[in-house]
Amino acid sequence: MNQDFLFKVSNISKYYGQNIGCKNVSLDINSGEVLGIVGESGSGKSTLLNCIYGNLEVDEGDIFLKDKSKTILNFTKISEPKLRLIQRSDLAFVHQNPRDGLRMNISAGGNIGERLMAIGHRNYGEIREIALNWLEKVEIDVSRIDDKPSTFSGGMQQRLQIARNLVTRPRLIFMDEPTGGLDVSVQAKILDLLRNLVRELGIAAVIVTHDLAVVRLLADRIIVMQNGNVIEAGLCDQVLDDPQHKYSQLLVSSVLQV
Amino acid sequence: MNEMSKSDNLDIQIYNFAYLDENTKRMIRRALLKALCIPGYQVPFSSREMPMPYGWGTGGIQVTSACLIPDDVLKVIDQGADDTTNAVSIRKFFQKTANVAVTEKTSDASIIQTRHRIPETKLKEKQILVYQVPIPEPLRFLEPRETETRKMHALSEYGLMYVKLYEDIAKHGHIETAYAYPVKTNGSYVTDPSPIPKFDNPKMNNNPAIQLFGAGREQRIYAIPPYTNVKSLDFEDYPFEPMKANFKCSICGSSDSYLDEIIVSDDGKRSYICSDTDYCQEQTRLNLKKEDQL
Amino acid sequence: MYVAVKGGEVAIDNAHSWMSEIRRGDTSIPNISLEQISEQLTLGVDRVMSEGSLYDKDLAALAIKQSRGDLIEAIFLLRAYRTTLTRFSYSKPVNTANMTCLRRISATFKDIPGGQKLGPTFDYTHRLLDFKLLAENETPISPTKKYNDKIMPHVLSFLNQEDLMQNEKDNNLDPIDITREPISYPTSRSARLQALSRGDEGFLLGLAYSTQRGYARNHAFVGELRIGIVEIELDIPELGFEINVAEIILTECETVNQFQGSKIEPPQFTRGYGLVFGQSERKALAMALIDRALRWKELGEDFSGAPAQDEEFVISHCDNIQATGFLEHIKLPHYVDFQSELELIRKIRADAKVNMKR
Repeated sequence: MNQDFLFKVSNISKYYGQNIGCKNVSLDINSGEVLGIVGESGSGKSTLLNCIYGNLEVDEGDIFLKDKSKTILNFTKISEPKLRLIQRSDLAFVHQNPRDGLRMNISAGGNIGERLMAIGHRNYGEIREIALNWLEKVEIDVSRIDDKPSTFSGGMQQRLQIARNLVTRPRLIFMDEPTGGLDVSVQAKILDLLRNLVRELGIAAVIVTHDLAVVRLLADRIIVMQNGNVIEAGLCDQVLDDPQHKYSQLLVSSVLQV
Repeated sequence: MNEMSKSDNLDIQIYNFAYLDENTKRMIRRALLKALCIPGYQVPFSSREMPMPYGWGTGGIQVTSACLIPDDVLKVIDQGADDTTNAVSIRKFFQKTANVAVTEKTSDASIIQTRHRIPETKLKEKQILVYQVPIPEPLRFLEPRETETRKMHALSEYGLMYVKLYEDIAKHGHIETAYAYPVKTNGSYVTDPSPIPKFDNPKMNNNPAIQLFGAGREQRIYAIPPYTNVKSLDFEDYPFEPMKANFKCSICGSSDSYLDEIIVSDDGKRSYICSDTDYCQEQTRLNLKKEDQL
Repeated sequence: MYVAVKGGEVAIDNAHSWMSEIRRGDTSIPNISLEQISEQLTLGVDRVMSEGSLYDKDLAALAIKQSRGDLIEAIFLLRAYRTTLTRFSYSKPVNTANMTCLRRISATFKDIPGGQKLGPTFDYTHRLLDFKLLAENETPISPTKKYNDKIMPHVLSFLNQEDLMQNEKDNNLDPIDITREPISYPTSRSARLQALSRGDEGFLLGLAYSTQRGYARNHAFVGELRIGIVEIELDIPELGFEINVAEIILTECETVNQFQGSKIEPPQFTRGYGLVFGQSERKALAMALIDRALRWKELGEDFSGAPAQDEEFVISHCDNIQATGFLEHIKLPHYVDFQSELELIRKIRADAKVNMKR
């Protein structure tokens, strides 16, 4: 095994009854890199993402994770308590709909502070300080710290979700269509923010999207999925500029060149 | 069925000592032992229907019933007083079904069953304090699902609990919980102390007595063995503060005990007296003794 | 000088004494007898036995008399009495196929082997107050016919023959006894059925009604409703054979529900099941509808968010003794906790005033 990985996905498959979620997928995610997973609706990208994160049980194959102490764990076989602990402290998940990733009845400060409090922070003043810091980083007006996310715009909610996830410096962040529900100008801002944060914090990211412009901007490498299978993989620019597989060519050519 | 024997049966109810049958007591004792070994952890038990309604102390009664021996001296209090209606009712129940000695003096009791207060008088080793608990789950109002709260305890996922405290401070400048203030038991499980005023929380810490908690309707038992560390949840910069009315008892003059507020006249005039009636009587007795000596 | 409030014990004794007096009421009016209650207010007695979880008509009648007609109070009395009884054995499962039916109907077929038997039902009566009952001396007599002891097989067994009816799987485990073990979620079907059978009729009625109005989408057909006498048999190892220890009346309801087919099963009819002591049709029907709604997971259906599908919600709240106990406990003194709330609110308001002044 190439020892430089964070996650090593080895030939996994996931079925929904008779239907294929994803089949025979293998890939590596290395620390510090951004991996894009692209494809149309129904290609299996979200299924793959959720399998790697541990939200869905795989039917075949293994997933290996190298934890903070450099021990290699079989992620598909560890106990639920261990899984939840790793998810809480080491990983992060940004949902397409911010309502799925935020507590809507808790203030913005509380939302950001929760993971800190969950890992043992016990100084109110410090927690608040860190929350204010992050609100600034994600460009939310700091005076909104005590407001509930239900009073925020969609773009603000998404930025809050990102802050909530990054506050404990996870090693890897999963994102499922992070700019999916937002209009174009807002999308651009968020993508910019994500790119800066990912570089600044040196974290790895896996981004699922149907929008090639997103991966062009953020990803180092991408894989292309169709009907649950990975049909092409490689450096992002290479695949997008010179797609080899017929389907990838179709995908790329159908995007408006701006 | 023989009509004669049935009406006999209906007339002369012959109860086992302390009402519950021995098998049931055994089941409860096993739960209690397990609870003592895992301080603060809620042990499920098969609560029986008792002659009092659920919500009126059936959990505490079952725990007391399982612990009682003929030599015990029982004290029962509600809101700190021996003479409130529910305390009277429960004490009578055990007098009838166990024929044990009863007392109002905390220092003479071997078992004290209580609702919503810890006695002011310091407890000693070998005393048992039985708390009546309505909702044993401290996370219940943040997360209604039992399946989820069980996991949260198992994984020590208490972030949500602290978020609630954070929100209180952000909104009001204080933590908003006045009673049933959550504690961390033995550095491990977050526990609900039952609806005692937060003033009483410090008494739970390092207490020489055995503290047992019974929730009949919710079917849970938990326990805090003697000399266990019990810490109320707080932030370093917003530490826990016990709180009471800033007056003295108008009967015994105590400024250290929790006070009940009584409305004494039509124009709303207030008076404050000790909630713990035994403590108040004892202080009064000591005051008179002091006066005699002068 | 203010004197501490005392006298709780005397107050309670007086309250109980007054209650006994009022329960008896005007002594110039005849005392109501247990026989009158069990004979003429049978459906009340049946409900008390069913939710009290104890089959004894005389005790149920006594409970109703003692509770002044408050049926939930009566159920409480029976449950408390039940706690004192020793459990020395379990009977064999009752074979309802051998029931001597007083009433047996099916909405799914016009005619069935054994026939449709209306029995003593309110169903087609016109709900007009019958002032003839004021006369108090009526002795109505109905026409009689020889009992048709043709065998009445379960209607759903015919659907079974065509393989249209989903088969209940026997997992060979002993059914759980929720009065001996605490319920923990997720529960088994046997625990749910037991809880529903003891559950409050009103609560279950509302929930069942909700499933018909779109809160969970399953149209139920009454495959069969039967009410009658069954035998309770006990296995006596020392004798080497079974003996019949009692005959009781049960109401059994099986509903047939449409099944859209799911990710794991081809379309089949599925079953909802209700079983209660005595004649309690409303309860048995409601139980069957809710049983079916709670089976969504094992049948591979979607959770539509309906309260009747939420196992924890339904089972935690259907026991009326737990419910009334906790509801009514708020009448108990809570002044100590209220005092701490008073202190806190005063403090917060005082601080706010100070802050505003700044």
